[in-house]
Amino acid sequence: MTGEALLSRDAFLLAQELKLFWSVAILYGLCFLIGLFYLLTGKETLGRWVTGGLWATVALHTLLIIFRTVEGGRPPFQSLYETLSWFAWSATATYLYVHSKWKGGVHFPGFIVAGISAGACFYSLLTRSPEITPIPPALRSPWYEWHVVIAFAAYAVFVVSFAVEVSHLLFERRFPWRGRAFGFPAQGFYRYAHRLNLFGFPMLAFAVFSGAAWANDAWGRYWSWDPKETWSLITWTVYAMYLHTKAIPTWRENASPALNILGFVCMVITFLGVSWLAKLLGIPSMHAYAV
Amino acid sequence: MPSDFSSKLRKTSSSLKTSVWLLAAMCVFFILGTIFPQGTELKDYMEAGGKFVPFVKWFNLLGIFTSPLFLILSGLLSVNLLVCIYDRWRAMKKRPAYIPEGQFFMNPKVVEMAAPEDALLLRAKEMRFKEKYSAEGIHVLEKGLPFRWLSWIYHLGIVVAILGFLSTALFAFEEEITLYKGKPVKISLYSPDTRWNKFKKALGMSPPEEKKEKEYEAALLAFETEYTEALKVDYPKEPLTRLALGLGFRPLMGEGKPEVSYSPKMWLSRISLKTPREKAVKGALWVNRPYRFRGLTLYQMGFEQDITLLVDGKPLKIKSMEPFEIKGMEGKFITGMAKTGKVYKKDGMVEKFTPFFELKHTGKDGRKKELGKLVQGKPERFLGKRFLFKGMEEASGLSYRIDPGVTFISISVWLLFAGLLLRSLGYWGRIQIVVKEGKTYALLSTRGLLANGEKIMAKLKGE
Repeated sequence: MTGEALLSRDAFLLAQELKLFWSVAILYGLCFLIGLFYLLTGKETLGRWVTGGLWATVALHTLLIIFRTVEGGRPPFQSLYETLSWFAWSATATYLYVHSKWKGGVHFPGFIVAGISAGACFYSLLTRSPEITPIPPALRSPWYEWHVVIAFAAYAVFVVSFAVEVSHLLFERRFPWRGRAFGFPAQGFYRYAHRLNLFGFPMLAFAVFSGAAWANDAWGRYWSWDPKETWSLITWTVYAMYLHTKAIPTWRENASPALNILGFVCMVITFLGVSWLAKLLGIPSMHAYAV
Repeated sequence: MPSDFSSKLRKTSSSLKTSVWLLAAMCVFFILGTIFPQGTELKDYMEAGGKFVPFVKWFNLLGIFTSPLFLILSGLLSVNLLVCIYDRWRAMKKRPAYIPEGQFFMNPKVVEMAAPEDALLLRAKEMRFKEKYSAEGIHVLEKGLPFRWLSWIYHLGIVVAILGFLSTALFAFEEEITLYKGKPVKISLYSPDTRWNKFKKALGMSPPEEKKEKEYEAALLAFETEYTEALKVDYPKEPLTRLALGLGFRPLMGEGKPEVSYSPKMWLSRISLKTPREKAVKGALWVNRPYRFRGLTLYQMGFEQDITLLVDGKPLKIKSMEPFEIKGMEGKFITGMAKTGKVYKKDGMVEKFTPFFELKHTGKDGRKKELGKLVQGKPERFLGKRFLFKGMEEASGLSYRIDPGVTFISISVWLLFAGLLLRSLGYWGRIQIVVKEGKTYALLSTRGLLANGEKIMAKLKGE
């Protein structure tokens, strides 16, 4: 095949991939809308549709991830366009795995996860370019795959933990009478927020350490107080506070849920907000390739 | 009472609540450090329209991570950690072999068992629980990783990390050098400007003298760049157009030949290093692959391109990607990165570029215009003038750093990560069986995600 023919093939594949990504985003959006009706009506059938819809969407999304990997000939988490898609996929897949462990018909957290995944996909499609660029020199490191995969696995776990926390606060604490329609109180359900954070915390720690080790290899400096680094440390510290409050009986009830939600907010800032912050305040970031 | 005060102080400094408050305060500093540009001069901050000048000055917000307040807070956190570590260590040593009866029956998780003492012991042993304590009517069995020690280990890891940070802050230094071919640069593994040496000077002590054998001479032998060819996509900016494209109502690419882009693949420096007493050694380094030689590590940071341009026959020396002006012409010009070296093409061929760059112009009214491509040796007419890209010289941007803190950090990473991972996931279970007034009671405690308390209790009950 000539170079020109190969480029035409790439253009064709990219157009197909875009159609697939839009379909995935729309499906996440539909799951979110069904979840909204579920919230308004409390009909369990709608809840089951949300979970079923997410299973179908994540299957299609898996295809998209494989498609992009083959198309680019490299892992599909280099640009923000790709990492947003990867984030949505890993969050949904983690949710569905955790959901399969629950007893009873709790589907509400799926509505939150669907909203977050739809938001990530639409943000990617509407603001970023799908262009497949080869791996730049800064990312050519053995740390690259480990650092990104584990960081996003931690993020996915925190998304699900956030969804569990919000569901618990809404239907097991704030409006328990409304909760019955949504399968609450569900035995052992709330335990999952803590268990998920216990699982995500060492992964986030690995992401921070591997980032530092990578920075030491690339720049000779393991820590530069770069906004991305600092926010990852903030997120780690907030989850460390969460785990400590879990061991303080008088703080367990109120401080822990607040810190879990704050941890999620910090995670979003680490992932997306830092780039906005750096742009807004004109702070140079060494992680510019992640924008 | 002094003893009351000291015990209160001890209690406060080893309490978990204090740790949480200190961590929260650290977070506030971290956040401030990402809002205010670190390392900026106050003058530059004011010129850039900074609004909180007195606040910034007072709290040293432009250098917050070396400010006295941050250092005091870090010190307090370290004290809290050390006291906690010491207290937990003492508590672990003195830990009673079993929970006293009074405390045991106050625990809401105590379960009255249907099976007798012997049967419970047998079932626990079948689950590979080992007897830790046994007396009449009380048995304690344990299985799994010692979670208290693991927790202790990763807290110790944080203390080692803080030592590493401190060591970096006091003794580390780094320098950046730009190497041009034929212009060697001296490198010294000593700096009088470390915080420690500055501190010594401030105290009137003289810092140690520079040693000649710790000096190197670095020279650039070659600088190589490589690029990869890829499809250039002109993705529309408007959301509705993007949606139309995604739904297949519009084609992604226009008619005609697909355009290509060139992305950097590799920047590589071939260098030679020489000490005063030895012959030169040759080496190569690139991004993410530093070059190490006898205590010196060199890192590839970037590169500079000095371009010679002829505008209507008049020579002009410029740097790529830096704005410049041309006498007699309005506005400013800027070049893109000059492409030179190898290119890996889509069809698998590897070619050498004839050096070229893109030239852009910004008019007085701020309007930007892409003038076009300038290939070396090929004149072009832009804005009524004749431009010729005559030649270029590339320089390699390297850095080197001496940081004794890295050793501490490496140790701390292992302690922290291994401790955290094993503590979070690792299985730990403890069963205390108490016989009172002919009835058998059991209390199960578990830690770690792999320890399923419900499953263990079900097995203990014989379900």
